[in-house]
Amino acid sequence: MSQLLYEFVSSPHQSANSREGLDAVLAASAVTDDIVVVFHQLGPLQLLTNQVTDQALVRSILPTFKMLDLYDVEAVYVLDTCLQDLGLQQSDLAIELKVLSLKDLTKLRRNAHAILRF
Amino acid sequence: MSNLTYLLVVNSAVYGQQSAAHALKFAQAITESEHTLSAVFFYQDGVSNALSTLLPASDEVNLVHRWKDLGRQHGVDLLVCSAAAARRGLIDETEATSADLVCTQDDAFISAGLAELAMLSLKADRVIQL
Repeated sequence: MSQLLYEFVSSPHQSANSREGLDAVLAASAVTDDIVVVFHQLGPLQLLTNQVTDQALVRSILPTFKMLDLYDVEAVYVLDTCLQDLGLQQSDLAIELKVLSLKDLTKLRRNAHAILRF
Repeated sequence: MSNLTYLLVVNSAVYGQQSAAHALKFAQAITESEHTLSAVFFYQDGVSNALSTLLPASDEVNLVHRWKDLGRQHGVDLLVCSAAAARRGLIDETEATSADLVCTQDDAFISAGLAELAMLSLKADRVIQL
């Protein structure tokens, strides 16, 4: 049991958290296969399609999120209540995610070897 | 459980908020305990803790010096994510030479990559992010 859990909780562009968290996940995929990524709090907003980032003076990292699949990071989740709170459907998001409950997240956290939050 | 190995991940800037100072106190507490601090990994805004150009007023704490003291006294590796560092103007000697810039990273800190962060995270019994 040596799972790395990465939690994405920040809104996009307001900080570099999503970009630097994603860099950390992609680099970790070279070291271990056992990676879980969870989007919750404001994190699901990072995955909204049709983002225009030019005006925010940042590079769009949406295409980089699509790399998760290419790097064999397949355990990618979004918390069900966060989707509801943000008024989002899964179809609003640019990558395919599995939906999990708070109870599932608690279980993931309990089983994870380490948790990094961005 | 006793004798745990800790990895400290510092994501907070060297000045302006309390987190980095808090991380240093936590690191010191680990070294004074029966536990081991395997490394301190500076990421995101935390890379500023490795600045060689920090110049606080003489009656203020220089956190960079404190990290260096910790590293020297307890043999703790002070690792800096080079990609996050370069984006924030923190450049080590090698980068400075190749980009024709001035080196701004203190030489007590070691440039590292994010794969190393993952490896250290897997090796440590506890990972603390501040």
